[in-house]
Amino acid sequence: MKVAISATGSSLDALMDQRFGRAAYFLMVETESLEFEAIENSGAAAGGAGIQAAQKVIDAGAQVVLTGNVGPNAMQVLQAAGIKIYTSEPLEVRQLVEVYQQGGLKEITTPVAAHSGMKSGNA
Amino acid sequence: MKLAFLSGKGGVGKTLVSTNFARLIPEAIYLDCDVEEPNGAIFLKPQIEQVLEVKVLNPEPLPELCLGCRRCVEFCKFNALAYVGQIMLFAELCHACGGCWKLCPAEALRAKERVIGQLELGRTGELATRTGLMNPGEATGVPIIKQLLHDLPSEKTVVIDCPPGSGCSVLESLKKADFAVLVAEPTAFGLHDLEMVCELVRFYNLPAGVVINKHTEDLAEVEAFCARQQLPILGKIPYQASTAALYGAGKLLVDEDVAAKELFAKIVTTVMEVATDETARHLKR
Amino acid sequence: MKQLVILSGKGGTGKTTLAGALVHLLEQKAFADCDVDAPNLHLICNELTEQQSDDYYGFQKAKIDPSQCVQCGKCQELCHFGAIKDFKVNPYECEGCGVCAYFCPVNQAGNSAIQMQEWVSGKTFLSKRQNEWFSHAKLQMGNGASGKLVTQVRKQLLEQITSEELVIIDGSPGIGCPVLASITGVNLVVAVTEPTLSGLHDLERLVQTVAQFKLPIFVCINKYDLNQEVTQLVEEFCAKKQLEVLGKIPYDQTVIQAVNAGASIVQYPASPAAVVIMEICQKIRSLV
Repeated sequence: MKVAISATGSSLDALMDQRFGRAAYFLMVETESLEFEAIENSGAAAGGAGIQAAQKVIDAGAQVVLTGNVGPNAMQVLQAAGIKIYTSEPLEVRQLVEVYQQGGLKEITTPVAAHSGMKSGNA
Repeated sequence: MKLAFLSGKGGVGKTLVSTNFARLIPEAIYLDCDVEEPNGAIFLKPQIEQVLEVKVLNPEPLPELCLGCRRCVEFCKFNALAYVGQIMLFAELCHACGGCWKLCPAEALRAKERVIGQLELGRTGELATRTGLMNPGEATGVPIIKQLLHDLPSEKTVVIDCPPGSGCSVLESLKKADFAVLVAEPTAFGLHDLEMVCELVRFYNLPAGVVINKHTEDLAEVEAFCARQQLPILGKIPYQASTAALYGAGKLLVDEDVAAKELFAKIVTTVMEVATDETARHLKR
Repeated sequence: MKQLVILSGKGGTGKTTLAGALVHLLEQKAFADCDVDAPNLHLICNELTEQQSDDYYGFQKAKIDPSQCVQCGKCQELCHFGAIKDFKVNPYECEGCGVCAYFCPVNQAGNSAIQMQEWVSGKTFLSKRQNEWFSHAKLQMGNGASGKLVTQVRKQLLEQITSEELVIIDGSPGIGCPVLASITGVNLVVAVTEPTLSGLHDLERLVQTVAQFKLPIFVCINKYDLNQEVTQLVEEFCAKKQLEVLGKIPYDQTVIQAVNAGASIVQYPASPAAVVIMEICQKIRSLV
């Protein structure tokens, strides 16, 4: 099972990032082997960051997303791809995967905030 | 004469000054360009006569034609498109640039009108009002402001209540203006914001003057800044608890208070004189 | 680490006055001005020394290379924003969509007459006041605040501090993306409002927004005595929503005096506003 985790750093010791769209990294972790790949998300767009992030983890082959909060746009994209989303407190990624495998996380199906269509602030 | 009322940050008194000002000019037009938080109507309470939709062109995906090449997704700088088995559109993020439907090799996207807000045309006595309202969650109010400023009769006095800040919607609101009235507070915060809007009007080479709101005593730095920038001070509205209370209750000062009416009448005269002189001088230059 | 953000909905209600008081009264903290459209907190935080500043790139803009341009006019015809005239791009009209560069026949032939270039839309600053970090930003004219910039301002602060410190964030008005970016990940929201109908209207929208984050929100009513009736409406609203009102700050000219002296109101401890604001700060301290 390949899970995508929004993270503050690029290793398994990094803390989960509570934000999905504006997380610094996505760690793509194989739950059996704990093999992982870190995808940088620092160039997140001024607007539509959640959509871009969702597209990134889908394209990287995620089947499940572990994160804090997901906005409605990102959720729509993830759900369209049939990806399940689980929410957690900010734990270390390694520990988070463990908790997930033990079935200790809650699945979410509703977004956190009407975050869509932010002022993009372009001239 | 088209007069733009602006201030750097919110809460300085743009709407207070511009609504009371407009109320005293027969047959003027008041435009509320603060389309995210239009508050002018709270004070002017216009009778709405007409509501117009504001539309932009967005793409409409046609899934049966889509080849799944994702060129449009990669192209869109605003992340308004995603591809998950088929194209998904996030319309509120779309800037209506037209790129996606022009580049699609299969014509699987076509242009479609979408409503992003509305204009409310109304009347408060002799004063015509036009309020722009952006639908919550939209990316930009600029198309609404464009439509608000479209087709203004040249012989009338137009009072443009601008949005706060110095972003793109403020720039748009200034485009048709002949003269800018900068509303400022005599405080260090006020000075900082005044410097910011002064830069804006200089960019447009727009003649301008200053109305000081919430005046208790002169702040030497503000006076010095205006002198240095050759910004005439067009009036000072004293801070009064009674003013604040009327404003808080959504009332127009000039309708409730004789002294305020006299004060605003004087400001109207000064602004019109200075604006006429300055714009004439500007044209000659 | 605990973080709190001060918000208001409507502009000009006194967010920065409260933020400045917290900066003066609380210990072991760092602070950020996330009102990047009209940053003012630095004006009442004396003795700031700038440590670092960086250009902030928010967007791209098109640029035409006249030596490559064949003046075919295609870009002008395709631009939906009227940003190209006489084979030049007006960066204040350009929205950075990239249509011109994509369809430019010179570009399509493998050369580059139109390039999309990163555009400096502001600057971020890291400063120190005594031993405390302060993060802030300034936007260039024509650029609005974005969640991206607010995120950047918070991020560069968090990189400097330890987990024991309390982070105080002065937020921006409104309920848009910059506000959401300043709420994410905080522990506590303080809303400063004023007794005007527009202030109440905007507070309601703010409370709705914050509710979605399931965060505790505490309210201060500033200049409450300017309109007692509307103050009562605000209190009724708070009671209905079960929001604690931390305090009602009287209108006080000393606040303006303090601002003009580049000081915080709490440096005038005898003034009526300072007395209440100090109580509010005490409550906030015990809340976090």
